[in-house]
Amino acid sequence: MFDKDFKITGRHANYWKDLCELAGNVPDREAHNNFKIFSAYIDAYVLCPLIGYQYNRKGVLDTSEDGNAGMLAEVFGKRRAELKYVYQILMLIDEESEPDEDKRLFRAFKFSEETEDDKKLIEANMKVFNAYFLGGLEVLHEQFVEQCHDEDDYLKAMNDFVKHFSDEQDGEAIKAGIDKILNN
Amino acid sequence: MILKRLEMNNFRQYIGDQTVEFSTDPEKNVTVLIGVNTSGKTTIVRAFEWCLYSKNGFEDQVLLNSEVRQRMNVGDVQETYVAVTFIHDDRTYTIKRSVKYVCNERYKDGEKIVVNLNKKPEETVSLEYLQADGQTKTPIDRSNIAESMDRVLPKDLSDYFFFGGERISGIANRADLTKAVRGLMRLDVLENASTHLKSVVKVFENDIDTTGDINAQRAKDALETYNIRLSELKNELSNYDKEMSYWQQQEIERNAELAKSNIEQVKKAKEDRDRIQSALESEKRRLIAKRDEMVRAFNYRPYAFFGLPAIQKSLEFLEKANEKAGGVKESIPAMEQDAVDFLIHRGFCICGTRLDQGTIAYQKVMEERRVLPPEHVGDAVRQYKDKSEGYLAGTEDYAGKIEQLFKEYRLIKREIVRLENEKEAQGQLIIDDTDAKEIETKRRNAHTKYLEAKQDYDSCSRKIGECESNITNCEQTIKKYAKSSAKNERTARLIAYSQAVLSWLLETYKGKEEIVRTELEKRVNENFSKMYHGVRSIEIDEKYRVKYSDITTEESDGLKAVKSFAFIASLVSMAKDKILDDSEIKLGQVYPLVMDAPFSNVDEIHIDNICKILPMTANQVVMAVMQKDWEYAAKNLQRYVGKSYSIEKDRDSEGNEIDTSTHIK
Repeated sequence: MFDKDFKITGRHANYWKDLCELAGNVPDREAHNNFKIFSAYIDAYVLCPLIGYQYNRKGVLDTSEDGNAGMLAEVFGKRRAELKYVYQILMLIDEESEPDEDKRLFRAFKFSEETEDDKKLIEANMKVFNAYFLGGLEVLHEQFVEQCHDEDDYLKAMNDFVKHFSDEQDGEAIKAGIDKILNN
Repeated sequence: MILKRLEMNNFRQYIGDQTVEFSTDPEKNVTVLIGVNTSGKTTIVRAFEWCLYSKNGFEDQVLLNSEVRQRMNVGDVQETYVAVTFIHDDRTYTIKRSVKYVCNERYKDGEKIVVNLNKKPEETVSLEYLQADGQTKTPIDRSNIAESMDRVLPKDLSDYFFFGGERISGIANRADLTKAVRGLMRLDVLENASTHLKSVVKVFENDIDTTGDINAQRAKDALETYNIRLSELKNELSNYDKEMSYWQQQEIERNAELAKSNIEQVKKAKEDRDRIQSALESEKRRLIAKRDEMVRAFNYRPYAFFGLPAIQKSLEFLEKANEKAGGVKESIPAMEQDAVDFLIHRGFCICGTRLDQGTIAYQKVMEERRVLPPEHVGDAVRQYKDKSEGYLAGTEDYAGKIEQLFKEYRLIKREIVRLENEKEAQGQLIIDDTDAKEIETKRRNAHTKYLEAKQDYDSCSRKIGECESNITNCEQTIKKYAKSSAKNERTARLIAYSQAVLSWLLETYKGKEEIVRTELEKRVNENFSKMYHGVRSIEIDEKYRVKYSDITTEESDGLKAVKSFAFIASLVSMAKDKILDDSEIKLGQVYPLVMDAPFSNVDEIHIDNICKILPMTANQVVMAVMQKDWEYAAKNLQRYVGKSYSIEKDRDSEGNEIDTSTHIK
């Protein structure tokens, strides 16, 4: 997992481009010259599945419009650990894709692809992961790109988004709860 | 002039006061003074000359009686005077001339007493006339006396009326008698008038300036040219004025602009602007940095922040599962099943031992595999907790940090806005260096243009001044010549008048002179023939000289005297008869004839003849004669004598005559 080239097409590809700094040869760079809240595709790829989950949004590729974006396998290298952590989080808690607790526990820690079953399981998991990724792209696109015109707008939106999230989720209480578990 | 009285006081040999009343009777018009030789007859004539004309004919200039003089002591003052009373134009005049002598020195030279008098004795003269009442005397101003006497009887002509016998014979032989004749006949009045008129005509002719008309025309032409030029110049001047104003205004405007940017201000403004600009750039850089910092902060493990609820949920889930599985089994930390799978698939362990199925090594490794996640929950949970702790570390204040950075970003943003406002405000107050240079160039250009325009203006002004003064000159010239033209006309008229009068005068004069000459010649011949015993034809030439037409021989003194008598008698008679008077001009005069010893060179027959004629020709005859001459003259003259005197000297105790003490009785 996270060791092959990854690419998406259609509307979400354009959302991804709108949210991230573009590196290398991007033919439609001019169409996506707005302010970027992510430094690279990979940053969005790490965060968006969690956002999608948090906002209970899963995306389905929509090829009604042209779009094309992706990352080479090498990009995952340094960030694979983070990706696997996010993947594990989602596998543990996404009840929608797997209501059985034991199976969620198993899939969260099943990284080996020795058998065909293994492969099928991981492939199914990745679909969940990527669906939340697309959902996260949608949410952030709505929150940022569709609301903002200039840098100030983006930065204000960024500040508001974080603050809003923190207030809504009562971040301090969550942190206290996490600390309790970790220090147990 | 008719003599009425002669009064002498201590005058020469006449001692004391001596008075002679002359006969003014028209019939008995002769006054005779009879005396011996050296008795003082000549002194009578000289008394007249001195009194009337201040003519002192004596060898010894002292007029004071010698006896009186001898009696003077130092400091004594003695006066001598002569007074003549005469009638002229029916008015009685008295002229009195006196002289005061002062004794400066008196001494004895042996037996002789010497008395020295002042060298320049004071002489005074007075002339007065009696008013019609016969009593009131009116003095004539002293400065007018000489002129007044000249009008009565000219000094130049006095020779012909007051003369001694010695001078009579010379008269008719004088070189030019023209003046005398003209004077006596008063023709000099006409002559003087015509001479004067000739000079008047000359003066008038000089006054006429014929160049005037040409000059006036020239001035008129020039005036027209100058007027056109003046209007052109004024037009030009107005243009220069406008140009000057324009460039001056330009310069003022540029200066106003520059006032904002004088060197100090520009320097300060530049510094201020640079400072603001640099601060602004710095703030912008800071803003970008802050922005990037915020983006970086956003990107720093955002999953650890946004994943918090999910992580909490996952940890709670794992805790629950772990409790269910019965705790944690020890396993290699961070080792997962796929790591063991990799080793089995490779065929040898990390240590190099082969991992073939059925070998002990293989079994051992597979035992390890069984206690690794996902199969063994306990260890998985531990691993997951460690991982979570790691990722969460450093993200505790994610939201706070974002908020803080955003605040800082906003502050920088506000500062940038403030600085931009400040910069804009500065920009409105100041102008850039480059602008200043451009403005200065424009200002200098405007100034140069202004100076050029001013130079043109001044030059034009000067030309206008010249033009105006030329116009004034032309106008004055035209006026002057117009005046002189009018004056010329008037002068020409005056010349015409003068010339008309002159030609009338000359005509009259010539006519009168001809009459005089003809009449004189006639009368001289008549008188001469009456006086002279022989027959002689006498001609009067153009210079009134008396010539015998038929004789060339030497004439005797007697003949000369007769000739002179004839001449004088004729002249006087002509004046007396007023032969030149007509309705327009009064030229005739009345003259006395005062003679001293007239018959001294004339023989008896001639005396007789002369005496027959003289009383009839002259208005008044006064003669001082010697006793012996009078005996002949009395025969014919006696009946004309109105008054008669004898001149006598006093005698001393021895019966001798005293020269210095003469009396008229």
